[in-house]
Amino acid sequence: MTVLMVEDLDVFLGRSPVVHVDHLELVAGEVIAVVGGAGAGKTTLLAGLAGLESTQGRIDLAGIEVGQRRAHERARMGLALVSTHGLQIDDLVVAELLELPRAVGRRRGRPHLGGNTAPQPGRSWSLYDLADRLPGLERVLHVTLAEVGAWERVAIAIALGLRSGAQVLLVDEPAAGLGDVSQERLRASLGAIAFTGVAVVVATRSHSLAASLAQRRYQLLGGQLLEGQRTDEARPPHKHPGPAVTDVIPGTDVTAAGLVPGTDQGRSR
Amino acid sequence: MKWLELAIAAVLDAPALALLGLSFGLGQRFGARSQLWWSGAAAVVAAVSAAWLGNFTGLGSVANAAAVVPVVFAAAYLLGVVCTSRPEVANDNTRVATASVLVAVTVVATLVLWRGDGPVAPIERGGEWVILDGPSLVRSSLVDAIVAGAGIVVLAVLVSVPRLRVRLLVMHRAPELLTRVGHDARQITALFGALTASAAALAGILLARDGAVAPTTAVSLSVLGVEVALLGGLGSFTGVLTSAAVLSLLTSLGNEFRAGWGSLAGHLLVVAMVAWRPGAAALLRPSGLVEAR
Repeated sequence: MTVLMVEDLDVFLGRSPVVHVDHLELVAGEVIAVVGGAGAGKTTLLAGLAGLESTQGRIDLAGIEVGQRRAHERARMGLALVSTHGLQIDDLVVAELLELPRAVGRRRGRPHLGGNTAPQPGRSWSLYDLADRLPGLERVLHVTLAEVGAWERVAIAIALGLRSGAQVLLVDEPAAGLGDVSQERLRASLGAIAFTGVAVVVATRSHSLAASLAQRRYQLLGGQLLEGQRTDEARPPHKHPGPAVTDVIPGTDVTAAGLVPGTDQGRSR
Repeated sequence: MKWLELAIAAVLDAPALALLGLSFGLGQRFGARSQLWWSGAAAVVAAVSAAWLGNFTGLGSVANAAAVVPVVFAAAYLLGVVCTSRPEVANDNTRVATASVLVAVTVVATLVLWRGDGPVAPIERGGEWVILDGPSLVRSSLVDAIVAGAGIVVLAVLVSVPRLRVRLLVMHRAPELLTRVGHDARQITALFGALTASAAALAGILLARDGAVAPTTAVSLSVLGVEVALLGGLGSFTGVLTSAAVLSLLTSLGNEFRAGWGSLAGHLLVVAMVAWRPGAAALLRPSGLVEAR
């Protein structure tokens, strides 16, 4: 099922169009990469899709035209921009920050229906589900943003998008400043998230990350989004459900951390 | 006994002063960066409105607050929405410019209506226009203190609700993040601006107790608000309450010594504070007499 379809889109900075997309289509659970050098327009493209930069053209989210909607409305509908930009509020506790997104698809303050219901695109993820796919997140839930490392900051940014009920994650430069181990975690995590049906667009400078993560690669050259090669052979971290937090951090006891599967009971109040 | 009366009067005056300081400081700490201007503008407008209402109706602070605060809230909210409705005008400069125009209009209106040393609102009695001298009929320092205290409690409760506190903090420091997770930053800015403006309005009503609003009221209220906010630490409830009590006591004692020396003592205290902790004067961080949480 197509979740994101972009037709003849121009993204503007001020009054000048800086990025053009002829056609882009993304199905549920798919991961694509947009590769380009510094200043190529990757961030501008994602900001345009998210409604933070002005655009002209057609953007459909799950069959609904959202090109004329404001940024917060697109976010509520499931188009989530993931970026560590703005996560410099040092005195804010991570668990408090994760309460920031509007609850989507569930009653505010209630756990997911059905106890062990798996996360779904378009619905807010519980803290348990997030901790399961984003290793290291539950360790930093009760510390301030000043105390978290580079990978945890990326995990928090992704978690904010999923808490908003993302159908499509627009992930901006997630590997910037990450070491090899963290990049491996990133691949595993995004694969595990895509496995649940959330589509992912990753903007990156790294060809190797793009090749190892995405089914399709696009390049931004001269402000044009050009389709590159398929990378099916290199792909599939998301053919499996992704790492559980206990696999990645030996000795971690999810129950002891106060997280009960399918619920938000571990949430800080 | 005389000193005790002075102290009691100072304590009863302090809540209104604290409310004014909080409306300035909270706006700066949690609201849009230009919220200080909005609050100041609202305080001036409210003070003038209060003088008019107080003299026309002869009612007390509760009735005046009930009449004026909702109007200020609605006006500030609408102004906030209008000023942030289009991306090209949704910036701090626009808000500062709007607030400045609001203050200018109020000052000019006060100048036009001013009748020398009395209140601005003349009323018709026995076929001629007279200017009432002195306070409204049923004003009481105790009632005013209770009304101001209620305003402070409402603000404290709202800002301490975790969900709201986080939104306000994020709105102030990274508004784009708020939008990215599905919140309408424009609505929150406008609502919080209206809330702080209402607090300033209530403070303005209470501080205009003697009913005499002169063209200099805009300046004196602005100076007073900034002084309390600076001394107390921006956004710190305990700090602002402390600084309001200290300023109020100092003003009472100074005026007892010689008329006009009260406000001078307050200004000197602020100068000493700025010399002691220059960072607080830059209006950039919540540090005053007491560290803000």
